Amino acid sequence: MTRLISVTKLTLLLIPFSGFARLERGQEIYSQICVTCHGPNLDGGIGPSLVDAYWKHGDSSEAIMRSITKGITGTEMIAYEYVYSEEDRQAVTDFILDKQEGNRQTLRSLYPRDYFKGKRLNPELFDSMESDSQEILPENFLYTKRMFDGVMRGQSKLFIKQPGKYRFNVGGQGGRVSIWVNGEEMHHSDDGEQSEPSFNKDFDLVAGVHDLEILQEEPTSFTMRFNARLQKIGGDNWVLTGRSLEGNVPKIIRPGPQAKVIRKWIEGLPPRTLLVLLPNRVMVAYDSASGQIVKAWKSALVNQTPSLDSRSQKESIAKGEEIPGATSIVLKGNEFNLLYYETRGESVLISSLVDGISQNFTVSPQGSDSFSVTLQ
Amino acid sequence: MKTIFQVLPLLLSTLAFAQIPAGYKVETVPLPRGAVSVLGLCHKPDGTLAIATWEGEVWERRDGMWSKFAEDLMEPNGILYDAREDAYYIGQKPELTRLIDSNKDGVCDRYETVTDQFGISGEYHEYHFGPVMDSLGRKYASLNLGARGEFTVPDGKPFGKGGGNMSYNAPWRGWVYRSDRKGHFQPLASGFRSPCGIGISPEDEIFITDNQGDWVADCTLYHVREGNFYGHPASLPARADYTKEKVISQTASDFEKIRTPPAVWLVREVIANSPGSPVWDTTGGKFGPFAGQMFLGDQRQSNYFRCGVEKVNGEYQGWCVDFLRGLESGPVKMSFDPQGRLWSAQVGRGWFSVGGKRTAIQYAEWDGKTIPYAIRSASLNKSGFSVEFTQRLGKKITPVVKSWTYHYYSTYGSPPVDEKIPEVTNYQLSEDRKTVNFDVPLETNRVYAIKFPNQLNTEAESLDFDTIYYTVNHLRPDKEPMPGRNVGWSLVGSSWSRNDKARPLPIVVAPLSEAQCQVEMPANAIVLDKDQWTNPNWEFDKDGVMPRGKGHNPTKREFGDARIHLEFRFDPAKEEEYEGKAQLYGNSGIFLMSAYELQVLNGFRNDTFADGSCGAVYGQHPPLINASRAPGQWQSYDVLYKAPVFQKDGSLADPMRLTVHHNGHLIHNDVWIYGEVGGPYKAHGKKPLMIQDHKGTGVSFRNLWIVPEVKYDKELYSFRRLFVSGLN
Repeated sequence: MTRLISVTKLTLLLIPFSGFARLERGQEIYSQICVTCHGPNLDGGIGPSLVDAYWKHGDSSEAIMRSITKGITGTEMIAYEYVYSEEDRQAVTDFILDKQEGNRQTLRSLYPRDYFKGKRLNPELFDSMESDSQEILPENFLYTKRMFDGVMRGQSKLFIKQPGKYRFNVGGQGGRVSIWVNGEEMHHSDDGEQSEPSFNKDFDLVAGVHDLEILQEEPTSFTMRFNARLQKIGGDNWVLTGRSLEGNVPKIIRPGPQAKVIRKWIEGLPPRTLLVLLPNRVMVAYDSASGQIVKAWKSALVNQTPSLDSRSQKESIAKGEEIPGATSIVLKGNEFNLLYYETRGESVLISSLVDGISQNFTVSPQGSDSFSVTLQ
Repeated sequence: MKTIFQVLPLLLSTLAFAQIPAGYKVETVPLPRGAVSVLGLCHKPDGTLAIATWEGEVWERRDGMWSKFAEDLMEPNGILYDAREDAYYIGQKPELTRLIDSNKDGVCDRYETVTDQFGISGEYHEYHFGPVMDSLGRKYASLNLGARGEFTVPDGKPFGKGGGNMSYNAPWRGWVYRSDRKGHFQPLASGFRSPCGIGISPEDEIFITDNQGDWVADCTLYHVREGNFYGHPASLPARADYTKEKVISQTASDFEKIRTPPAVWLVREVIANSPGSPVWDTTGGKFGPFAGQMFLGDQRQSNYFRCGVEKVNGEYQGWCVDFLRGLESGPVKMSFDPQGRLWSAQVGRGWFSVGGKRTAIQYAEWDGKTIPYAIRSASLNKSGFSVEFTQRLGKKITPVVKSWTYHYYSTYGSPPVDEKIPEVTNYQLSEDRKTVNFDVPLETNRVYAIKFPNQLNTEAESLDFDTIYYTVNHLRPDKEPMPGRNVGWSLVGSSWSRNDKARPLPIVVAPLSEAQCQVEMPANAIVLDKDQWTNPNWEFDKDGVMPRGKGHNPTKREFGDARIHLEFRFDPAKEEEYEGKAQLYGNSGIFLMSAYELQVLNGFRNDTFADGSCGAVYGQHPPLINASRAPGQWQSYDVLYKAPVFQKDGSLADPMRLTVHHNGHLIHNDVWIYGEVGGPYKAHGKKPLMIQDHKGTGVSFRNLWIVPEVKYDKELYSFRRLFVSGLN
């Protein structure tokens, strides 16, 4: 039923997987060197996240190896070919790849509609015809251009760490979809022709790398309506479709040598919150409309990437380890009006009008993972 | 020579052909790294370009080099440079913010909240557009409704079938507001849906463009007049005379009665789908033969188009015509630089733009000599239209006219309704062959598309765009209403003239009870008893009541900044005696510093022009609301004012400011006084307080006291909150 794919006709990925001794060596190097910039959980810091859907310089084994070996010009990522042996560098590459889960780099091919009319969507049919265009998407999910008029094929790899039963959750309207895993069709739906019954199988996946293929067609619309997730039954799910960043680079706001104040829409935080991001990576969410600190994190950053697509319908994400008990009343009163804020080196000064009286306080870093508030 | 279709090499990747008028060229400017959606742009007088991006950054560009000025903001949707303050203003989602670089190192070091007195629920569509600035330095911005929320106005139509999608989730959404200075927030006008475009004319008049959708039949250009309602009822609960329940209980025909239609319909698909901000060609001819006209762009159409308005029956209406096509993306904000080049911030995200690029900054430049062949403008005549061209016309071609109207309803957009093709008669070409006059049957509330098919000029060239769209809201009256008397100042930003009869009357609310209006007299107050007044014709009776006497009555002492309390009562009069003589029902006035009048007049069931009603700063500011009590009952004013400050040469340095409560309701909130009641500011020091004599029925005063030498700015916060009023 399921099988491990070690060779791929797409040459997208060819990786060793868990169980190799060198994963331990990779982890060792990562926690000595890489962790400084990419974070203990690989989710970024000074450098980008290594576990999200956006890979600026490619996420294949070769691409990651190349980034480590040659470095990234203009960043703090130096060329490690002079520091570590090829074997070590490969070990780090494998370690990073071992941390990946869900959908990986996607090859998208677009085809004209006519040829597919009245025919059942399947990989062989696509193989029998040349595509109009073929592109490796910089995001690890599938999408089409606005007003796309045609048929789409997406080919990628699924990285599965949790063995078990899986199924696809497919939504959208008015189109037809066929999803294949390791050469077997697991989902078929056709809102248009109904020539054969739709089905959505539950299937087993072992830990490892699997072939994923999505074939899809829908009426031309402003944005793609089709959406799909891979669901582990009784467990997590992974997004397979999304929206293009349209060439945007992922935007993550990280701590710097000076304190920062960030104004972003964050799920669950009041819209007039000031996010004070301190050099010690502590971030304090101060709600200027209530005079209260509503949340604080250590090892914090703000990931603005989800808000970049479309029309800001999605929030930015505040990430970090929540500091328990950080919620507190800074200013006492009934009516709070924010007057101004400014950065003062490692601290931030916030000035407010509280019931008509001006009150200032600073937020400063304290130690490696805390902050202090000083009323003036 | 004047080939209309011209290949733009730099646009080859997206669009092979652009329509650029002869004599113009379009250039593209490289963007700073990370600027992926440019939402706002402006120029400093020295030519520095500044942009604001969706991602929350502000960049400056000098000599072709970009430098980052500010960052980590929340979707700034517009940027303005205030030269007087050497500061940028941005409309970011939660507030209007001033960005100051105090150490002049080219990076913002202080982020100042100018106003956050409007609501925000967090719903993503609650955009905040602007600001623009009037000649007094005051800022204006517009507030989008929410896209999702509980309060929509479907007017009986099912949701999703076009029944009222946009929602009101927080105070003042769907409004345009004015922010004078910190703490001053004045809602100006309501009824907007997605008012992405905001502009201010050289005459200090606010114009807004809105996007077609529920309650907005097509894209619009509104002339915004203070107090008016422009059509989207979800914004109405913020008004003192509406509640959500009342809004829901009404129908389109109710809203129609209070609605002001757009000055120009920006016809969908042809001119605009998502219009941006208007700018006025004040380049004095540097940008070609369209000086004085409005230029706009559209986010979908990726074009520049022109508009013009004229006053017909006292209201602006006018035309739109396409100007230039083939931009890289969709313009949302525009700015003329000091060289007279027209720049635009363009985006293609959100709604797809014809240009195709996700964002761009481009400018259009005129060569200084070539007059493109185009329709310059249109004007309404008594029985038809007059259309002007930039060049001499060749063989006469009778125009083809089509007219239509729109539904006003909760459904998303309206198709053209009741289309007609009226007959064109009496075609006449002027002697210089540049102006066409013709007659056509005219009806109000219609768009007239006036098309000149194959109308060549004398050089046998074709028009770029052969159709001009004129919105007829009014027909030419026999006589235009007279503008208000010119007394040397104007009602900046309100778009009304002095004593304008068309201005909406202040909304009537219940006054607070007399007990609720009690205030404690401060210890340093001077009681204005019989010994304090100079006119012997004004006498206090034994109860301390002083009826209006003959001749004005100034105090003996002179006052600067002050706080005043007084009570007044109108003699009840028989209504039939005073019908149509509203200004004669108990007229008097509190002349602050003997020169600035706070109107005293019966405001109970006694309609008069808005800026002459009870509580008005006469001729300038109607009260925010009408909280009058009936004649025969005592009423109160509590006044805090700041005297004007003059330069040594007598010119105004700082205007008079005024905050007033009438019967416990705030009716003026730190307003800017434009001048004396009958003329411009004249330099003065301390002056007596004076009560006015005026003909008409009687009015009496009592319990008058004044606190001299107040510190206005310091007192203002608590003075605003003097009474517990649900409306303030």
